[in-house]
Amino acid sequence: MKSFKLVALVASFLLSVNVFCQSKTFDNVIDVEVRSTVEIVNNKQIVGYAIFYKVDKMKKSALFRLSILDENLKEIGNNEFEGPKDLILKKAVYESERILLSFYDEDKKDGYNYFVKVFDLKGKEKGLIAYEPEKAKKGMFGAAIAASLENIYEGTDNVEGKGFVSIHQSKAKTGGIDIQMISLDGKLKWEQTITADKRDRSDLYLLGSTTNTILLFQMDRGGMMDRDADIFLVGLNTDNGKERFKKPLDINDFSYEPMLIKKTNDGKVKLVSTMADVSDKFATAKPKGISISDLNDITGELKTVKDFGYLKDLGNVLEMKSESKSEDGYIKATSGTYQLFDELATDAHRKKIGTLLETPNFYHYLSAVQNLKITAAIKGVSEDGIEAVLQTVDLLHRKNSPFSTYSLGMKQRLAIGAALLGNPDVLVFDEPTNGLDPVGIAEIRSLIKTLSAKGKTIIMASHLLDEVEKVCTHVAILKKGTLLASGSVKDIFNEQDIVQVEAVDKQKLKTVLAQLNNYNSLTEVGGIVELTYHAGQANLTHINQFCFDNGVVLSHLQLKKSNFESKFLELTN
Amino acid sequence: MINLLKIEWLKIKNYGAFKILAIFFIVGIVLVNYVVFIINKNIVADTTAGAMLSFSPYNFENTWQTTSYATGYLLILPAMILMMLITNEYSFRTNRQNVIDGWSRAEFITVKLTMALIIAVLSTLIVFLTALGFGFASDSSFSFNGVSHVGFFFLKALTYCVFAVLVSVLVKKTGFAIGLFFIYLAFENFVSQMLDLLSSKIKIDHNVDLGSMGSYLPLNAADGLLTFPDNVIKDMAKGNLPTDYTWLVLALAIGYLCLFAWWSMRKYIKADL
Repeated sequence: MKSFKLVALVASFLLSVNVFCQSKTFDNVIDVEVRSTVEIVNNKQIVGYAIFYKVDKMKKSALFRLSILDENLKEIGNNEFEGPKDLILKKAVYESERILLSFYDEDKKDGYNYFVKVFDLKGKEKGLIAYEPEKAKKGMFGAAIAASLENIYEGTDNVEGKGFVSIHQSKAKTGGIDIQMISLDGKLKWEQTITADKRDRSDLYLLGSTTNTILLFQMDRGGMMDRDADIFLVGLNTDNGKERFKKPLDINDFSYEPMLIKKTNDGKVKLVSTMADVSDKFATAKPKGISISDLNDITGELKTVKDFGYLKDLGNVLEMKSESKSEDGYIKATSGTYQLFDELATDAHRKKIGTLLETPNFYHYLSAVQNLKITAAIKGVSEDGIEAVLQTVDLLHRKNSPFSTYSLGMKQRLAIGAALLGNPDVLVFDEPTNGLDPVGIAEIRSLIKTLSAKGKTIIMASHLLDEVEKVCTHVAILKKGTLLASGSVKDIFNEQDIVQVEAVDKQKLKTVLAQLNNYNSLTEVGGIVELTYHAGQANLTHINQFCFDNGVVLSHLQLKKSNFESKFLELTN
Repeated sequence: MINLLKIEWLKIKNYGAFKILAIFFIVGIVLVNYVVFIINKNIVADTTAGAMLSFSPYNFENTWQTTSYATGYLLILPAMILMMLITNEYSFRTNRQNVIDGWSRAEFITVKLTMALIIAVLSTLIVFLTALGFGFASDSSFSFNGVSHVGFFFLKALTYCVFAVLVSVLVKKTGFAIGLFFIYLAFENFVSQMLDLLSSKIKIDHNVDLGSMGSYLPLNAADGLLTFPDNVIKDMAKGNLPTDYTWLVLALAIGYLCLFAWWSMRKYIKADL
């Protein structure tokens, strides 16, 4: 037993995941490897995380540990089970206290192995459903497309209150998908194959689902490259897999991207598609969009079909990009100048700024130290700082391993380390937490805060509003090169309480409400009066009492908090 | 520039493929020449015909030309080294990172072209020493006559290297770049052979001497300057062959070289990284 512990000690020291080993203790651990970390989603919103470790290797199989974390990275459940040694956790979906995890194992000998498991929140396994592609006939298109388009066709989603849906590229001769409905108790409810009836091949995308209906976007075409397709919006009954409706959509002559489903707060379903018009040459292709809203999920009836303004703007941007691409190869500023350190910017100024753009770019065959030596030489700073920055980003123990052996999180950390070389006063980070696991994200955020406390200016580009809210002190919002707003985060995203009030006699309601004294603004939106207050100032009891005392009986009274996201959308639209 | 080259050295000194190809190249130069040397010494010279031709490729005067000519076939190796070094930067996206960290685009491409120059100079140096060695080994008295062929070798080495830079900058992917380089080489050689035949035909049929037109193509211009040493057989055929306009081919080779260098510069500075 003693030697066992010693091995465990050495292994945990050597392994890249020692971060995890410190925070979690496993009994009899001899080899821990994080296989994957995935977001647990519900209606495409992140509600938690699942971490999948390999804790012990056996001859042909391995012992795995599953850890379920809530939004705040606190472990709420876990489980250990045996499985094939190359098993990977691919996706996780949440619905009604159940989590569906999809696993994938690529064993060259036996072909691939795909299955989903349902767990409760404590981590107890409720059921396992395997997917067997061999059941369907292998066809000419099936195999080739399955290989190239795996990511599009592999999908899972939750069905509100009923369970989960899991889709796979079908091996049927005419393409299409195999779709499985899995109940909350982990049983296969029904299974269905959807494929093209008349054309050569069918492509299907899972858009999402309501309680009643699973929505699919189906394109039937006559061959791989044929753009002319029959397009349908297909709805399947969640109870038995039978087709509820198959509605042809008149959107030919487009190159198709799948539509997005959006469930709005008022319970309606909206569908939004983004499509490029390829009737012109490629270089001048303009994305066109249509918004199909107010879908009846039982009959498939669509109320409005209209052009979508936002995408028109996007079209202009892309058009400009493709024009300038053909001319110069990259976009140049059309007007204006910018200054760095109060001077017109030159190449040399970049040496004084630590920058991390998009992905970590390093020489794969060189170690961390060798890579940083190159960065130091380019920036013209001393090599003495290398050890210190590796210490800061916690890579000292792996400083001599080649970059190619690093995990994504380590690569990102090394990139931040490179940006810190030479102790620059200004740092530019473009999406620094991109692709990191939850622990990595938390680490990078705290690192940014530490740096900021040391007096460094950090400029960060991000589309994660949550991240901006947590990390930044100041914010600037740009749209198509125009500065929409800038200032401190508090000033720009000042939070508000919005109170919605409705009554039969609208005129009287407004007069009475106007006599209230501590609100900020009063507006009428579609028959509903909206009052805004500073955050935490709205008092519903008071409003109700006040109206009643003045002879108005309210038919609707609701408090809504304006959050970061709604404020952002307000600013950008 | 010294600083830029130091950084380049940091990038390549731990690169396994670079070491292997460099060793292949250096050993290859000596080996190829040694094989030709041995065959000539032990087999060709012993035959009656060989004795009659009384031609020894590694005697001084000839040694400069023979070594340069034979080594010319190995220039694909340094070209491959360069293509790998440059396309690596694209696949690792370090070309962007170097610029982000403070290099200008011009500095990046200049240092790569300088690497091409350095590799060409080093190859020439090795060829010079090899020629010298085999010259002495074949018991002939030392002479610098014909050393200009080593100069032609340098031109050819530089043309191959700079062309490799251009292909890498245009194609960006390692496999594609090396593939394209080989395919273009084979294609140009084929066209060149056709043009040479055409030149001979024009000369015989119409008595118009346009020179070896095959040598006017980009890579063959540098090739055309390097031929196997003149010998009896060649002399006999000379009457029917078009004249080698060495000065024209030399001018063309230098012209193409400048074009390649300018094109890669322009492409890199203008392109989207």
